[in-house]
Amino acid sequence: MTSGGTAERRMAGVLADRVLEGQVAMVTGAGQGVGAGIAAALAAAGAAVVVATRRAANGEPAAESIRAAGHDAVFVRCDVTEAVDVQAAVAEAVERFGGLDIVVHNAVAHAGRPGGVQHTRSDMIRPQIATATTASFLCARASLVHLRRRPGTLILLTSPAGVEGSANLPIYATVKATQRGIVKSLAREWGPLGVRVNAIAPVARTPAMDAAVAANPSLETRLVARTPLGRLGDAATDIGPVAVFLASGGARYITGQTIVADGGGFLGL
Amino acid sequence: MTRDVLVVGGGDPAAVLAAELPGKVLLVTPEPGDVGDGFVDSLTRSDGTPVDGLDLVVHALYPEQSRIPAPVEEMTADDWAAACDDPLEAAIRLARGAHRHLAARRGTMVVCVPLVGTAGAANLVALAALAEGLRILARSLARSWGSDQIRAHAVTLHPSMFLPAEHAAAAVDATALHDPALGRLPSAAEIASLIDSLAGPAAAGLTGASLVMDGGTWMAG
Repeated sequence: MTSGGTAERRMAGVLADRVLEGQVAMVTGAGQGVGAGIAAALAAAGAAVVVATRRAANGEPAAESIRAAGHDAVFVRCDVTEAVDVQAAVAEAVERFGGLDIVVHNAVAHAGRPGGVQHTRSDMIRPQIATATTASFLCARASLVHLRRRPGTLILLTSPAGVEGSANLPIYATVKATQRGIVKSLAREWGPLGVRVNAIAPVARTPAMDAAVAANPSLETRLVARTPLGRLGDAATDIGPVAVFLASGGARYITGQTIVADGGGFLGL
Repeated sequence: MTRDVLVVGGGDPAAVLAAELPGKVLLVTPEPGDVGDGFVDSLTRSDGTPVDGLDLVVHALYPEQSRIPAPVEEMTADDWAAACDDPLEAAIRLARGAHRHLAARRGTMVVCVPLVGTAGAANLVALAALAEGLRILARSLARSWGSDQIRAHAVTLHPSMFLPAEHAAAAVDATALHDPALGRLPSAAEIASLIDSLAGPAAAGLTGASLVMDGGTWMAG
């Protein structure tokens, strides 16, 4: 995650014109990793941000770091698999900031130990579906009434694995693919309302990525080796600006798309 | 060689494919909630013998709730679960249970999906999510099961194979720029023939494919 310091300065060049000034964003799973990077970038571009996370332990510090950088942010506790929580988080955004323009669903469940689908722990299947697939539906349903007023935009965080599949994280790849189906169909359903729906498929250094690399030290080498830009992404400075762009007027004719932000590692679209 | 084939799914396309596929075909029509990890192990053939080894598993389990158009804002959480989450979990658990049966025969799993997942379709968001999830599940199975010499593919079919005519027509009219290049849609027999060939020696070097069989309507890769 980013706040102040080098990352903020690096972002400034991209975000200096504050293209999201006056807008309101809600980002799920924004307590760390890609979600925190996107929340920081949206805030740096001028949006007031609701940091919606399950745990205050990381959600509140993430919101505080955004405020410390001089931007508007508030933490709201939200288990994205619970409809009432999602509804309440959306209501809090509207009440606190006067509306809702941007919803980013980034939260993801732990995928468990790498391995084939037959080796996945039985009790780790449904939580992955709930956090990616069900929660995408819940976020969409709860936010539409507000997004259509602006009109605003919905962004789902998917993964290159959701396009190319994964040998070791097959259920993660499956649920990430469902989000691409949601994006394409919601884009068609909501386009007449002026609401755009897109996905970002990032590869970035996050706590989850660090844990995966710790468990499998060759993973980073293999990932970087297939990445033309030669490095893993940074959540705030490489992925965040993609969300800013998709939320901005510059993307007003883009809907139903998946933007792969992975340094060129996956070129199969 | 007579293949042992399991077809999973109620209604079409499962029913018409089961009728057209060669081999010893067992068609089962469970509700998604009935498909646990031990589902395949629990199956018996019409002669009472248990399923023990499968050459081909065809998945086409789409409950009625998946096929009913509805705007997202009008769906309840239960509607969504029944249309998308439950059948998605069922497919994952079917695959888990099928693994050892397919490994015993170096078999093939084919997942049939409607093209709405690739093209998108208003008011069919849950079906599209399910379809894209299943398509990439097949690709993931191909990656992880290749070392067991199990192959896995997705076969993407025209919406009319899954949806009532008026709903299929709406989905097609809203997304397809072209009529079928062949001037017609493939027959069930032609689709079954493709799936059968995917399980045969001609396709021994092919896995993880995502084949669109729609008469050349979308030509979506």
